[in-house]
Amino acid sequence: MGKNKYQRLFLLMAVGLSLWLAACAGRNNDSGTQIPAPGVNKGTRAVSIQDRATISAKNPADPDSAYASRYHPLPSMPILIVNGTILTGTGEIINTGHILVEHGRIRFIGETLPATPANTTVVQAGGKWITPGLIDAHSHLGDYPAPYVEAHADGNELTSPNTANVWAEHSIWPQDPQFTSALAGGITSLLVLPGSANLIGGRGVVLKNVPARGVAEMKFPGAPQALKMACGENPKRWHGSKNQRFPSTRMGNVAGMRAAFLDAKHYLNLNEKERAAIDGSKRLLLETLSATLQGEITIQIHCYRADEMAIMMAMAEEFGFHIDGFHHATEAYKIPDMLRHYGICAAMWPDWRGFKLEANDGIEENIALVHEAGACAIVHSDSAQLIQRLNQEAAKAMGAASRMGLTIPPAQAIMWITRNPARMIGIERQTGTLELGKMADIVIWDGDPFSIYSRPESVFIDGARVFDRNDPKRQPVSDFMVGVEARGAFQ
Amino acid sequence: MMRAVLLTLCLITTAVFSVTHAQNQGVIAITGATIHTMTKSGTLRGATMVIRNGKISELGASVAIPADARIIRADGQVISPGLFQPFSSLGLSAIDQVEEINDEKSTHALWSGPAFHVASVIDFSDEEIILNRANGLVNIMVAPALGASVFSGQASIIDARDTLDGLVQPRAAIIAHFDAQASHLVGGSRAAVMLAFEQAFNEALDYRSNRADYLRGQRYDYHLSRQHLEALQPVLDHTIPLGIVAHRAPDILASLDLADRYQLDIVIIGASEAWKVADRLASTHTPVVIDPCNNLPTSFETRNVREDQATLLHQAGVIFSFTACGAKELMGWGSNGNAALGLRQSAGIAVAHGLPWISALRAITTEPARIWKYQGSIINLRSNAPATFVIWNGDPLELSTYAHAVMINGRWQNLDSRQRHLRDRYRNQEQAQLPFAYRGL
Repeated sequence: MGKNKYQRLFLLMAVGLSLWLAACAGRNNDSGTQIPAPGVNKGTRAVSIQDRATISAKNPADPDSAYASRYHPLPSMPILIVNGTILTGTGEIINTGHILVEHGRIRFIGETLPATPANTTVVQAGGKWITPGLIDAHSHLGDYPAPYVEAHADGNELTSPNTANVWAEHSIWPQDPQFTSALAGGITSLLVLPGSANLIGGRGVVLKNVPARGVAEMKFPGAPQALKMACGENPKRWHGSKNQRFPSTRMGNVAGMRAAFLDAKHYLNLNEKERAAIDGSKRLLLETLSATLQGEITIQIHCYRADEMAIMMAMAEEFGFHIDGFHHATEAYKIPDMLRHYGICAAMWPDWRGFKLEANDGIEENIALVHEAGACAIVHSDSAQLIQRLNQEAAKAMGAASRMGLTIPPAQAIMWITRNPARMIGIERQTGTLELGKMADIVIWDGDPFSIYSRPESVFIDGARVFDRNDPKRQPVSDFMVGVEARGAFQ
Repeated sequence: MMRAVLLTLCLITTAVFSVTHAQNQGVIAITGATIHTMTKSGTLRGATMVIRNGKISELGASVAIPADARIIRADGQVISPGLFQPFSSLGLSAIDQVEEINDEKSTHALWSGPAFHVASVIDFSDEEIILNRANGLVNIMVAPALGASVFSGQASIIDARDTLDGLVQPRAAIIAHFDAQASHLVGGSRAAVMLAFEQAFNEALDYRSNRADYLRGQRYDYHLSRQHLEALQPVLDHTIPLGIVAHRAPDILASLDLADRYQLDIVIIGASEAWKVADRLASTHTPVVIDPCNNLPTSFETRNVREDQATLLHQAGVIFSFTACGAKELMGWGSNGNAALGLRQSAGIAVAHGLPWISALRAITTEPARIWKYQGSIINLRSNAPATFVIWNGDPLELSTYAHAVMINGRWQNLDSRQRHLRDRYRNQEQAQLPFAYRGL
């Protein structure tokens, strides 16, 4: 019995590994797009229905989950980008450098021209700047698609303070025209999270920003899901003040979260038979929370105030989990030492403050101070407007730093919108910097990306040219906007 | 003998400009800066500006520095008029979600309408005003939000001076909405919004011609109360404009038609599809207040937005100004960012989409004054104008630059804020011996 189980596990791992390697190698070719047939998952050959059910409930990052990524890179040719000013995302700048991309991966980056394969397209980037694709660590695109009508409000499952059972990806409308405007702004990957009305809002999903018919074709292969939690005013206002139910206070918020994780700990101690006896809705909650406790899902907490972030860190100690990121974090500048100690990233706006009381101590130097103190600083959007212009938001933070006598060069600031968010959402091994072997997620800008006058000229995802400002044939248009006269962000 | 106090702006912090009596007295000569005058003189490089008795006495490249002047060297710095935010709720809701300090609107039908005016409730100590002043914002239109009437009420124009007397133009315009928000208020149809406009202006006109009869109770029963009818008279007199928030091209055309029928001066606010009717806007000299960042079909009213709208309007000869990038006042939701930064962002984005640089700076400084018939001090920089300007450490449309100093009517403005103290309190934490409450006081 035990042997069987292990054999099956090994087979699973082998299939998973080979799929992963295949995905890594970039099996795209130049002759055409590989379009997966609807409903066909590569894992079906080796996995029993029961196994798939178990895996699906637990970990969609597992290639054998029914909800696994069905993303395939768009077709691409080898490309050589020459003579650009390169911000690598690792903190360095190459003043005149070249990048070779083959099979969707970065094969060379440096100052000498590399040997190139046959059929390599050369992209002249003299006078242009090259950065990693931008990554937004906090988005609701697809869950709150445009236009913002009630029929589209799919981002907050408002019916209970703990909705760990819901998955943001199951609300995503891939035709949301805001995906393509974000692409025109250089966004190549993003974390889409449930809203913040609940203590535990559900699972978020990491996407590649490519046009698709279904969310599975956008899911970042191998990326962990994210557990969205929320401190402070939102949960207590929505549930307590507006609906007269638990929680109505900040202490209620913390009690609600702890109770959920206590249940999850208990669940981890049950055997399969005992778990099967739990009813479905409760079980989905527990699957998410137990997977989180086991480190399979990142933890992303909406939290403004320093004191509340400190309590979340204490709670993480109680349950032995690691918080990956605090979102909004208007008071992160008060606790950079704690963020550093626990290895937690803070995702922030440069200038949003004062719209609610818990954002009252927001300062324009927040990002600069967190950065200066050596903690992981991120510029995030939480907005379909801002996500198009994360580079400009970062420039605001650079200006605030400069005003207090701190010069933050572009090579450093770019990390706020590339490497650091990649780290926070669990995809740093694959993308977020321009380094050998990483996914070729690249933006070519027509100037210094932190200048207000610069815009992305072309955007590559896994080496494929997914957007080009000068080529209307490489400007994807959602079903909702096709045939409409105006071209919004592309103009 | 020249009594010169040499200050090199690039080395000092704005703290030097924290207001002292001495600094606001006497004659000041600012040398070496690039000055965007926004007059026919254009942009002056390496120029000198002399300030005497709170006014710009001389301005130019070859101005003699008076012997008694305190000299401020501003080589490499940039001087422009103060920024002008043409449509905002600044000063009405220090913290939006705290009801106790939110005065943007009344949702009570009795107290909502053309007579609702915000002049008496603007909080000049609002931290958001203070932070905006530090970022170069000088003039602000403060407009009520939509309450229970399609007329949100009367807007004021203030300046962001560091005292409590910044109210310049208490009743600058009446704001109305011809959009989805207004439609929702009157039962769900824009047709009902138009009916409400027509009813209001019909009654205001009738009242205007028959005041005495009305007071004797000899006119028919008006729907609007007397204070609302009185409030509409300056609009009928062309003393103040009617600002109409509208987005769709047909809604803009209907607004132009309303203006034509009742002979109103209108300003279209929002105007997402203005580019489609640019010729009509130009030929009727109807100005628009737009957000150049507005490029998403966030509602069915804005499906035809385009990011290069400012350039198209400019080419068609339409008068325009910019709101802060993503301004929430236009759609009822949006950015919670700093308005001054947002204005610079809006102007810069317009330039990136083809608008001439100087037209973009105009759209966030002088054009709002023109559009709203601003009666305060002269905005552009010329001899005898009040000394009101901002000194930047570089191109003001770049977001990585910042405002060094702000002068309003000859007074250096205090750019200090609670947020600066918080910054200083929590910076360099390793040096703290005592709890942070003892620092940055």
